[in-house]
Amino acid sequence: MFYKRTLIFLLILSSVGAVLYATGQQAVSAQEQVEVFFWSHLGGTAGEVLTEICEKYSTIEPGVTVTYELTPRVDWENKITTALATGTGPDIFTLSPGNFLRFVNADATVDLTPYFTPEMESDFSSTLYNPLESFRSDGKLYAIPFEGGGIALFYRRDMLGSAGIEPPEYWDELLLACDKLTDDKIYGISLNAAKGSNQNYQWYPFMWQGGGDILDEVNRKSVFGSQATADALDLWGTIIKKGYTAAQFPAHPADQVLIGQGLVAMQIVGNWGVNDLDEGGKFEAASVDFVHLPKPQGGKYVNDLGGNALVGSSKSKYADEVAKFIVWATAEEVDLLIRYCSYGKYSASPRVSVMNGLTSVYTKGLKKKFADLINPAGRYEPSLPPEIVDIIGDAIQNCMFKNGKGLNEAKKASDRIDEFLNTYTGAM
Amino acid sequence: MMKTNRKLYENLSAYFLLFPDLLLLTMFVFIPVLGSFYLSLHKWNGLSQMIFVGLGNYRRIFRDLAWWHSVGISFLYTLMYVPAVFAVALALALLLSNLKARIQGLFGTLYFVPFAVSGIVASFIWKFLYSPKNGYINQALAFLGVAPQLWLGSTKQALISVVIVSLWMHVGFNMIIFLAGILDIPANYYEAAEIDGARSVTKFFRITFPLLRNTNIFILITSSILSFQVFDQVKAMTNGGPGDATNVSVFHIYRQAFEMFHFGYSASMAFVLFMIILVISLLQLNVLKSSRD
Amino acid sequence: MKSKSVGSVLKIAVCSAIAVFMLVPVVLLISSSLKPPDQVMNLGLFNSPLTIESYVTVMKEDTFVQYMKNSFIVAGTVTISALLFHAMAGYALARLRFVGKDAVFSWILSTMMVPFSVLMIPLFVIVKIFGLLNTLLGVILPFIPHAYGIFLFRQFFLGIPSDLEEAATIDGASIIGIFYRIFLPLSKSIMIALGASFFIRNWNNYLWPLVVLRDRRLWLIQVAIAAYQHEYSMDWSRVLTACVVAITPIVILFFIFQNYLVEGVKLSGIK
Repeated sequence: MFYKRTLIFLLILSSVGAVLYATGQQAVSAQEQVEVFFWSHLGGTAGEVLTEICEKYSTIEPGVTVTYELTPRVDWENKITTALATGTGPDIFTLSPGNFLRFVNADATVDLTPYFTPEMESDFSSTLYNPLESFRSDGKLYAIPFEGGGIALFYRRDMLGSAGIEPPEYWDELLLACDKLTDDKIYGISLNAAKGSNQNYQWYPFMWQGGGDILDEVNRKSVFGSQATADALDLWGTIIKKGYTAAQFPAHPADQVLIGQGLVAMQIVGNWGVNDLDEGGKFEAASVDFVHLPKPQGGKYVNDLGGNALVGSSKSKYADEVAKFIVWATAEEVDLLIRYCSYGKYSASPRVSVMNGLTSVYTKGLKKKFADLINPAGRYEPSLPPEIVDIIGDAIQNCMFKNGKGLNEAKKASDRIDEFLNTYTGAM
Repeated sequence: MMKTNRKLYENLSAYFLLFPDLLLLTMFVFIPVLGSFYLSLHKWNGLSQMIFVGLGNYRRIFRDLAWWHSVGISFLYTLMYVPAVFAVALALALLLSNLKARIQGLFGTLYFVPFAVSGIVASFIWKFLYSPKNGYINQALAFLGVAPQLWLGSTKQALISVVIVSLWMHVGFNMIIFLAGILDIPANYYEAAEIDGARSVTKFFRITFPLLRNTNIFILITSSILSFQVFDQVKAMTNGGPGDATNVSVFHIYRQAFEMFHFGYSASMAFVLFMIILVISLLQLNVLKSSRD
Repeated sequence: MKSKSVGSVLKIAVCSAIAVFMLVPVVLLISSSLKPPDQVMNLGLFNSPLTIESYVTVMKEDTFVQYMKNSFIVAGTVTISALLFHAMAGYALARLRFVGKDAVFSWILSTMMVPFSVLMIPLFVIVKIFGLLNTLLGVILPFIPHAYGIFLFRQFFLGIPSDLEEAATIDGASIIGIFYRIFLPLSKSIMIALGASFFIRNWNNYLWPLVVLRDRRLWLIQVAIAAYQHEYSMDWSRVLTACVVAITPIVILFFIFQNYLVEGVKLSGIK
């Protein structure tokens, strides 16, 4: 009797032990391989470095694989929108300030605030407009930028030289220069004449430099109907009407090939073009230099900084892993970001540590000048609802192609913005 | 008994032959269309929940000036494109119809090459050609003593510039169809007419054109339907501009969906466009049917 | 006799002039692709040194052959299936009497009237339900049905005199047999023309493959070409070269089939 009980007791003990042992094993091997997908339209050398960043992360977190997938830029919005709308979207993707709001309004992004330490925050530069602000809403941080760049007025030294013109600093000088440089072979300047967020991006500095702005975010109303706005609209209207620029170029108006191959004498180009236009670049023979975007008399220099941020999809199965990766890649990692901003795609970084690393890389030529002159001070591209982007676009198009008068169009647009804000309940 | 059997047999055979296409059309076109209609009854930005608005989107369309402007542009485009493609394709087919088969084949192939180029690539190339300062077209015009034109950069010329590119792309194929139709006409019809002393013009209007009836209908209707849906060239060449000079309806719909993220509203516009095209096609079919008698 | 040949010469001259107009853009494309990368925008035809370096880059480094293979599979499958199915449907609509004939035809025609950008998202959901996302089949299937082809076959079959059918029916042929043995062979010229059109359309298919495919190894040609376009700048020489490479197989196929392209159907003397 006694032995029977002991036997049973031992059997039970051993089976419990066996079960514990088995589940123990499982717990160890249940550190499953997590695969998350990272989509972006950044290809070429930029994509190369982003892939390296993903690979490096696997050495730090062996259980997580981040797979980088490229989508052509041209229909990026199509693809990401369709994928997210049908639940087949990526876990991580890149985002620019202009697109940010609609994701936040739809609660489609992972809240990064718990993972973002004050230490990390202190590494982000606090210039005129803190880059992180563009990606915050209600005090929470939803995306973190990893690159940034501004725009400048690039010009051909040879063409300006032979026309005897100094690179323009003010608007009237700009118009004069365009007039002298435009002939039957080349255009004086290239700027984006097609409606869209990129046109707005190029145009905002002209309004800002006169002291104008779009929204009073505190009171949620428009301040767009100002003289500064009107003047900026009229400037662009004049440039196209006098034939200083074309409504269509064979390439994108901000594609440095236009100035590199001499189809235009001056061009609004940004950081993306610097590698090609600098010494050692594809178009070094074109002998190109740059100055700030011209400002109105009495105006102050302001630049428009754009740049991509990393964001996590709230529909991801691995929100925690995603957030960790994003914060590591954008706010902790330094070396690969330096490589990104130099080799991957010439750009500025919103982080002080990375910028310090970059200035030791750029010691001469356009790259140094751009880093010194353009990158430091500027305003991040505003995050606006697409309706407001559209309204502003209409104002610009009307002044350029439909005989609109700056002040009229500015006031009209301002009223439309106010009308829209009355029904808009989303974030600003 | 025989007759009903025959009828049943014919019905079954017909549906058997129609089955693959009907199945695929249902699965991959009709059901998505229903899905789109469902979408048009909602407000949706692709990310949040859909909000049911019933016919709210459709009511909004009535007051939307920008939409109706785009419909106007689409009409203008179609009115320029369809007669042109019809006339040019027919003219070229007539020109080739009396030449040797090998030459017909050669030119048919050469005229078809533009279609092989794809709308996006064609747009790249034509942007070069249309360049106001260095493009070949203005250079050719300069040779003839004509002042350089703005083409894609002019609010007045942009639309017709796009029409020309579409013509360049599609004339070849339409010509081949016309040519096949023309060659089908038995030679003895013409011989009989010649004996009666008919001249070429009479031969064309009395014999060729009427006998091309089926082909004419096909080219007219398909060109109209497809021209209302032009998209690739607009997106790649003008982006709807300058201003809104080339903002055709399909492009407007695309922008509402993928730049403004108004998916429901965009779907309702698509349905309104669909209705417009349907009405026009039915009108065309009716007018052409009655002229048979 | 003499006036006839002068007329012919004149016609050939006009046709050649038009052929030049048709081909100038293509020649421009080819000549631009042969320029060194930093001179791509020089619009002269042959004013820059010729170089094939971008061809080497595109074909070898960028594994363009892979994309061409994918395009070929997609275009080929769609073309063959579509030609068969549309001929069947067109024949039924043209030559048979059945319940709902007009309604079916109108319904088919109406499917042509909805722009693709509107169908894209619901279609994506359907393809996802079938588990065909990120597969070539998911690219192929939605593009087989097309009202255009059905309509064309219908018009063509409408124009064939009924004596052939009557004779065959008397001989005891089945409806499907008549289709297969008489009408299908007769439609050779339409098939070649339509086949060429379908092949090209699917060879160059861009938006749908872009949205459905994720694996880079499954990309079609136009998607790969689009990938050379960055945010602002484009890798011009690669784009132009890839475009030329994309057109070449099609042009070769054309020249092989051109003799059949416009084959007339001799109907006289059938009796």
